[in-house]
Amino acid sequence: MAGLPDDFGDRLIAFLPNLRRFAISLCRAPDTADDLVQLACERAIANAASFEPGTRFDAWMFRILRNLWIDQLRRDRIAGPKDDIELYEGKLTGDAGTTPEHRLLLSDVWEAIGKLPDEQREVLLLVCVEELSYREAAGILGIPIGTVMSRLARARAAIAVATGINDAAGRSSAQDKVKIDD
Amino acid sequence: MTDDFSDEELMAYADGELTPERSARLVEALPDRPDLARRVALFARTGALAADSVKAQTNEPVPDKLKASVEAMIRKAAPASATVTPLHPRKAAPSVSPFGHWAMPIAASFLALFAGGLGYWLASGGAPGQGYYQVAGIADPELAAILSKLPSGEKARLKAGEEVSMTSSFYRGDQALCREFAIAGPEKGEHLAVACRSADTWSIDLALRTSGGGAGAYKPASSAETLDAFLSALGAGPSIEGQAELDALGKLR
Repeated sequence: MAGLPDDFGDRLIAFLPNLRRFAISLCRAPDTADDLVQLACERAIANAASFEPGTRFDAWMFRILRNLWIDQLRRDRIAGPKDDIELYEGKLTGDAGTTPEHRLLLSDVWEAIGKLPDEQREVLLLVCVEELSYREAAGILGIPIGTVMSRLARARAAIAVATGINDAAGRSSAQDKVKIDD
Repeated sequence: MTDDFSDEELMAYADGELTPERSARLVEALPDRPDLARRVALFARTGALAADSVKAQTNEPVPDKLKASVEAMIRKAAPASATVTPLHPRKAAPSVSPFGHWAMPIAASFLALFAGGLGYWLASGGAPGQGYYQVAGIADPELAAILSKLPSGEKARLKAGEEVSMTSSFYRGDQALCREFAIAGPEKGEHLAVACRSADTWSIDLALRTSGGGAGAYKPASSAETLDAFLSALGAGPSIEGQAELDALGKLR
């Protein structure tokens, strides 16, 4: 064993929260998510020599984890329906600046994301949450950029519909306002 | 000019991923297309909401057991005497959605949607100084005083001669107070603009030039409609009026 590149270990540890966040959002079951993270770290360490210095570490890790997740899904399909998995019930952490309505909206969005088809959810997470470019997401998922875009657009449209953002009454039009002159 | 823009293109524009050529075309079309503006804003908003929702839901620290297990793996793989290949530092940080703070309660970078000619273009990180828009889109003291005090429906004149008309006040998604107004003057033309208050400053978040600066047909009515549709889709709250507005302004430092 040649050992690990310098600060590879530190990077990996520092990246655990993001990796875990991705895993939880993908599979929505905390135990499965943590298993995936563990497995991804094992694989990353085993393949550390193949990581190209100067390239995106996060993209590399996401790809590892996502592929493990796909393997998991395949195994689940073959194994057949499971008993009810304990689904992730995160607590929405409060933020001083957030209103109750806003927290409710965030909660609805979380639900909506969970209901997306897997292929839309993974794109949404990579691009919107983990802030990868369309091109980087396409590279991780092994699909054309056009496919990334169409899945992403559908995911966001679905979220808008599911949370009623589409129909938000919003502001009264400036044109409708009647001004009373002095 | 009618141009058809696919949903994917509108989304790409919101994400800063649309080609400059296509962006320029969209930008020209936007003042007359409130429907497109609404759709762009919808993509911006859902993207930002997805990010914040996931971050809020997965905010707990990594379980100790998991962390310990990974640390053990690392120690096993990297004995102290191992030779090392340095990892290069990460490249430039990824860009955050410029519309983020409109949909979500985060004190992040602001967005400047600026009008050139008859359209919008996205300027991330700061609008070019143009008189009253100032450096990085912060309203200068003269304009700031007007924004802080003048109720909707009233007008004022800047020292340089432009007329400022206050249109409405409302709260943004993160509860920042925002003011919609118009500025008109012979040199700079007419602009519809939105300024929002945070950290004791007014930052010009949106601006649309509705006349001046170039020839071509424009419809002020639909420009206002576009701006309105855009703000609505970004989650701007209803107009604050009358005493409520006076109270909101009175609270400003």
